[in-house]
Amino acid sequence: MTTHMPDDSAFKKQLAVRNSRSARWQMFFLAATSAGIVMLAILLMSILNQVFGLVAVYQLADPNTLVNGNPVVAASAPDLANVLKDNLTKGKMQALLLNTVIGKDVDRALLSGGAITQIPTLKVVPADLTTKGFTELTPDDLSALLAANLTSTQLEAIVLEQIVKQEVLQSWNFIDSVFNRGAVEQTVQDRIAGVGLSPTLSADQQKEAKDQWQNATIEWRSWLNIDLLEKSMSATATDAGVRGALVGSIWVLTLTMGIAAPLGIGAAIYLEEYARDSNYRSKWIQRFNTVIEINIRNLAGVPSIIYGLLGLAIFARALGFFTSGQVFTGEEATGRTILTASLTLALVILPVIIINAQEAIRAVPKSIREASYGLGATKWQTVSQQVIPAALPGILTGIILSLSRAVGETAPLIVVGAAVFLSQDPSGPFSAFTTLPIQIFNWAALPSDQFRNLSSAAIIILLIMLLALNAIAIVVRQRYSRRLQG
Amino acid sequence: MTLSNDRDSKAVEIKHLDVYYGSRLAVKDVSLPVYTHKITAFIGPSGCGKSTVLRSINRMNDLIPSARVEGEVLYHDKNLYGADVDAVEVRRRIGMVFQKPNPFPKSIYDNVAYGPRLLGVNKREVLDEIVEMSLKQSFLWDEVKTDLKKSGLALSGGQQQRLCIARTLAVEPEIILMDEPCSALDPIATQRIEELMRELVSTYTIVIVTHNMQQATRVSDYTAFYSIRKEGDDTHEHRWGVLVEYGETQQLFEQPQQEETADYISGRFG
Repeated sequence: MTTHMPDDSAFKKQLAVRNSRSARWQMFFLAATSAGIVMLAILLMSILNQVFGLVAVYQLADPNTLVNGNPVVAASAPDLANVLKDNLTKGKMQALLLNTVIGKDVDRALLSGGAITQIPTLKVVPADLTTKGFTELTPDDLSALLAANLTSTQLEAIVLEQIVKQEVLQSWNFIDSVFNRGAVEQTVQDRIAGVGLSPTLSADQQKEAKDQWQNATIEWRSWLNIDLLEKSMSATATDAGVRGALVGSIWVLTLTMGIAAPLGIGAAIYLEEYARDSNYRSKWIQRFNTVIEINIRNLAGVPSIIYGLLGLAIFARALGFFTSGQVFTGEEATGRTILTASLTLALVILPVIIINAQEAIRAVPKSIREASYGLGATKWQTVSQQVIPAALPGILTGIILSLSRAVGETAPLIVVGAAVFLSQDPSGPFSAFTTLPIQIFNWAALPSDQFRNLSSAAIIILLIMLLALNAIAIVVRQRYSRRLQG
Repeated sequence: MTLSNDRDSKAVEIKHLDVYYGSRLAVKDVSLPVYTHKITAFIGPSGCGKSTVLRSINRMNDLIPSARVEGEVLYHDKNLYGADVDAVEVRRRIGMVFQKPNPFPKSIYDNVAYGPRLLGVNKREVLDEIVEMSLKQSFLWDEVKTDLKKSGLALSGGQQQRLCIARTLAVEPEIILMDEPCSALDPIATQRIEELMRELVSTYTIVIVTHNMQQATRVSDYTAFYSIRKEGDDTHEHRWGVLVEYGETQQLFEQPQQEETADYISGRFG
């Protein structure tokens, strides 16, 4: 019998070639994986590099000895109010009371005449001040009113902002701070001598800047801290925080999920369970369904900025009377609200949710459906009691993963009109909004180093949010699949 | 529709049944009776359409969008494919056990209670009774009575199949269709299912599709032998199934009327 197979020596030679080829491919796959991991590590390190480092801090007063030699942190409300009185003019004290307690929108007539008890927003008035008018208040009275109406935490923030006036003159990144400390010291010496200050400063400003550097302290700062989460937007880097953006992101995310999840699951169930049904045997309906399916698949690939334009035209403008809340409140307002952002993002992620849910539903074994129908279940009984529960882990994973896409989405929100600066936290679907990625974008675009540090810190917060969402997705999938296997 | 006690009455009568998948003919002109309280076996080579005929008895073929049925399936003289018949009611009266055991990913209890719950039986004590009775009828009770909360998927293959039978019994059907119920089971589990079938036939009417001719002779009272007809050349071959012979099992195996039947049961083809 003739054989077509290679003889022994040829086989051995060829085997060596085959094995080395497979080893080369293995090397390539390993290199590809490593390249990805190295890139991610570099990215993360360059962000962290901006988050921690040395800063040169200048402050007008030392917060640790400001309150009669005691630190601001532990001080009582009256003591803090006294510090304000001792350091600020009467006019400033009036403005402070007006801005923090009474509110800027107050009827001016109440301020110019009549007793301060008439002012509705002024909740607590000490007994000896009930007859006085706003203009008659002495600095002592103003201080007493501030102490009575604000908490010590609020007063502490005011003291830090008005009196301590902490200012970061310069920040250094982590690598310079650790490995190049000499250069940091040199910069400080240069600035004290007047080297490297902005040439546009006048002689007086130059002197002031040199003084500030002279009195500055060099200290470590983590830009990622609790304050960052608690503080709202500000034009000063040390006072700025992501609270407004974080609240905005959470609002937008919740509404987006509320809108996209039911629509997406509903559409997927229709396409998988009903559209293929023999009840829809008509050729035209079948063609129509095919067109819809192809379109959904294409929509998943449409750049998100195009959804932004759609959102601007439809949700923000055409439906502005609804998305601004005008139909409910009657007040004229713009449609650039949390609701508009959520509707737009819901459109962005809807195709992905539908496709994921369709795949999850399709993966439900046919035998389960047959068993259910075989016992005399109706279509809806089968879908609701067998198909959806079995597909749920897949559907939920899809929803959570598309939400983590929505969290990071920036372009469409810029188009529909995210606020660049928010003085108040978003408080409902009809508030003006901003979100974390937009905050990051805005900060990163500012020329000051400190805002770049802040922007990196905000990126860390965004990454933590994303990781949390992905972790939830994994837990959900594990838990449900374990339950299904018994 | 009431359960008849007349031993010779027909539970189902299939008349000139043609089944198409799309434009392709799958089964042609099948006519046969199914007698009450008897086991009718469908045998024949792969692709002869025996499962297709079985599935058209409780309208499971409706689930395949392209499937189309012509002819009549009379259930107590009423055509199951009539305009006023709801497939849901048909399947509730004519239950089905599948080739591969397919318990729901739920507890044993919930598997059995699923059917009654679909029909609106929700009282706990009633369900408890139904579950116990159905599991006893399918000889599974003694093995699982202590852990009814356990997942149905945690049982062995044979137990799963008996659970599926219990699940079918729970809605009190008149007829049970079994599509090769033992093909995924070992010989001992197969034997238990066969004993179970003989037990159940005093209360129910059973139709079984089987590849195993010994099984057909062991359990069935009547047997229908299906075969394949071909048309066209190798590139455009068209095959469909036909009913070759139907009769009492003993008669069909000992004195087949058709040569094709004799060839098949003696192992000369198929």
